[in-house]
Amino acid sequence: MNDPWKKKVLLSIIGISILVITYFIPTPSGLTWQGKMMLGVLVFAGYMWLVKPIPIAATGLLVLILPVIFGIVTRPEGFSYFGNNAVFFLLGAFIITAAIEKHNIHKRISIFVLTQMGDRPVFFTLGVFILSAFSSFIMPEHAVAALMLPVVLSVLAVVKAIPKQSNFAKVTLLSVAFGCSIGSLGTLVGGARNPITLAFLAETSNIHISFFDWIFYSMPVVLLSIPVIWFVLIKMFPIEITSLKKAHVLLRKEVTDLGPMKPAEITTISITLLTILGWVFLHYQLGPAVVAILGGLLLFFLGLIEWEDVEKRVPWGIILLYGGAITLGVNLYEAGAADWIALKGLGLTGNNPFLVLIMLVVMTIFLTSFMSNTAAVAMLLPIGLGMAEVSGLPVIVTSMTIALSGGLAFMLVIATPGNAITYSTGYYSTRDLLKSGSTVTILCAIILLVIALTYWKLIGLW
Amino acid sequence: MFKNILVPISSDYFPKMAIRRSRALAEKFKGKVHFLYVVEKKTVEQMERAGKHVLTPKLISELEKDIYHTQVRDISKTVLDQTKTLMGPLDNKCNYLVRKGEFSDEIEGYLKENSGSFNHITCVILEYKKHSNLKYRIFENCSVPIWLERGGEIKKVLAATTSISKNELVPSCAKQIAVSFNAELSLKHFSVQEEDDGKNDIKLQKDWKGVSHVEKEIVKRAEKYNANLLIIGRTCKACGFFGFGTHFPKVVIAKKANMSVLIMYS
Repeated sequence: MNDPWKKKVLLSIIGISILVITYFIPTPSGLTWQGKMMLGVLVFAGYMWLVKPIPIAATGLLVLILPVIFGIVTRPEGFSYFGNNAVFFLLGAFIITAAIEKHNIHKRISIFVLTQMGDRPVFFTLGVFILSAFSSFIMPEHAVAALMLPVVLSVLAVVKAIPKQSNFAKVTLLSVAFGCSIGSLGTLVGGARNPITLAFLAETSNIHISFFDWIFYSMPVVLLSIPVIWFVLIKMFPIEITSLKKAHVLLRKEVTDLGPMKPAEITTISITLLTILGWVFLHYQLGPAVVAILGGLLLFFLGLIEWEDVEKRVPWGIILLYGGAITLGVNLYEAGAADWIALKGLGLTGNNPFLVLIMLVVMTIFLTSFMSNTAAVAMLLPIGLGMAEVSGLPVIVTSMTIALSGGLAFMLVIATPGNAITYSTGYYSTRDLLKSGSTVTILCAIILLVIALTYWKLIGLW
Repeated sequence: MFKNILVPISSDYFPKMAIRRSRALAEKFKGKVHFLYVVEKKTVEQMERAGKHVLTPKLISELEKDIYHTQVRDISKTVLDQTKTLMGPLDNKCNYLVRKGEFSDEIEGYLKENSGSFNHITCVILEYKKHSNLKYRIFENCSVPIWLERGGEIKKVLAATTSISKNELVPSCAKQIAVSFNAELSLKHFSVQEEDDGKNDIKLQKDWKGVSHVEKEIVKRAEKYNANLLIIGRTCKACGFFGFGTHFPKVVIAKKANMSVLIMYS
């Protein structure tokens, strides 16, 4: 099957046949017809997002209309979730990120921080890791990886790192990839799966989590994982070079070349900081979406960004995926399909909260390694909700566990754009990624489970 | 045969052993070595595969441009500098070239460009790396001998011809290599037809089970002999049932053997 067109059509036919089969098979006991059809839509969406015979955004659109076609929801209901706060929050965040990119603010900050790390390669890699993780608190992880790349590549060129041989290059680039991934757990901005989880909890359980709450719940996982991952990397790939003097000179020269901060840069930073403060302090008054869009619009009013700049940097198709993801989750829950899957799942784990959480973490990590983590989280959130209801675990605990596990995609190149962007430089192999990624995944999953079972209990989440 | 040796270097893998072997062969046969550094398109394009739903095409193309630029300007220089160090005094007899594209395509292109010229390539040296270079099309399409290097000193050479791949060059080339490396040589002819009856022949007629049997037998003999280099002739493509599962005997031999393999072409 060498013809890509034929391959796409065949794969699409297989996908559609999932829906046809679901339509004709008898409804299992304990499930309504609507629930059965929503399960079909879930399997269909999972298959389409995994195999990608059509763009994942187009599958997002299909997920919007299929429940209407099957009569599971009414037409107004079918499209209502698309206008969810989470979608517009992400839109606003994308506009602010585009401004940061346009004015090269990230480059300035990165170079400044890296020059402060001294000329010891080990500390340089730690600097890269922390910078990538912390940047993912205010920008989407893929944007951070894309922005960090030129800075890191220039340093690797200066130290004459040889692809696939230099451990320094491996640790540096894996620090970018893993730093972005782990940092994206920390705030609502890092990964789209976070606001989608928020939206899902608000729509289905009337649970409202603020920007600050999210940080409060997730940050211990991030802060504990950062040193652990970095330590794994430097132990697994012992750094072969002893000094970064030449690179240090280059970075200092780049700081000089950038010159003093321009008014446009200062204003963009100020608006970004104001927006973050708005997310923290005005969450309940205005909501994160309004604050994000206000911040974005302020950038337009002050002439700091043009629509073309946003168009250049924001793939609008992704918004359709987000809308589809929220719709899928809510419809699965409302049709009763989520509870049905949860009951079946609990047949394996019983009502033991620890086993339920382990199962959710493993399932999420498995799915997110092969498909968009937003899609994976959207598919599993309703199942987690069902499991929570049946097992007696708080919904917020299962949802947060799924959302945070969705960021633990360290093993495969295709798992996250951060992995793909850094891998494409050719400095490390898929084997390097699998070797370090699998260790890191296991360790981070353990950290997450420990936090879920202890810290979340301590702060009263359950 | 080793007048003009091509050592392709993929941006995915630095073939240190292949470079060392090319130096040894160039010294012994007074040859010239051509190094072709290929910036692998498939690696750079991984970004597009995984990132296209979150990154715009424009951003992806900018990033790819950045990576290609760094690869061609900086990384290739670093890699070729290391190559020069490994080549030692032979460095001034070497050609260095950088290209971006698909590994096999670039090698084929280079072979074609220099075909019939003073720089006509007479042998390609690849380094064996599990699951990597045996997948390259060049292994099948190459029109010049391919040396698949696995490292180690050449002390024993086993040259094998079969009745389905009679290659007159195998014995003569094997003798030349054995003499120049001061190695012990064993010539074997593996017969799959009853009328073949050479002095060193191994008759397989009675328990003939298909081409793979000959491959296994060749590898088994080479291992038993403790050969460091196995020289085999060109073999035809063999098809599986109904055209499915086409397999290539020389690739199978190269995969199964634990020594360097030289595949000759007539």
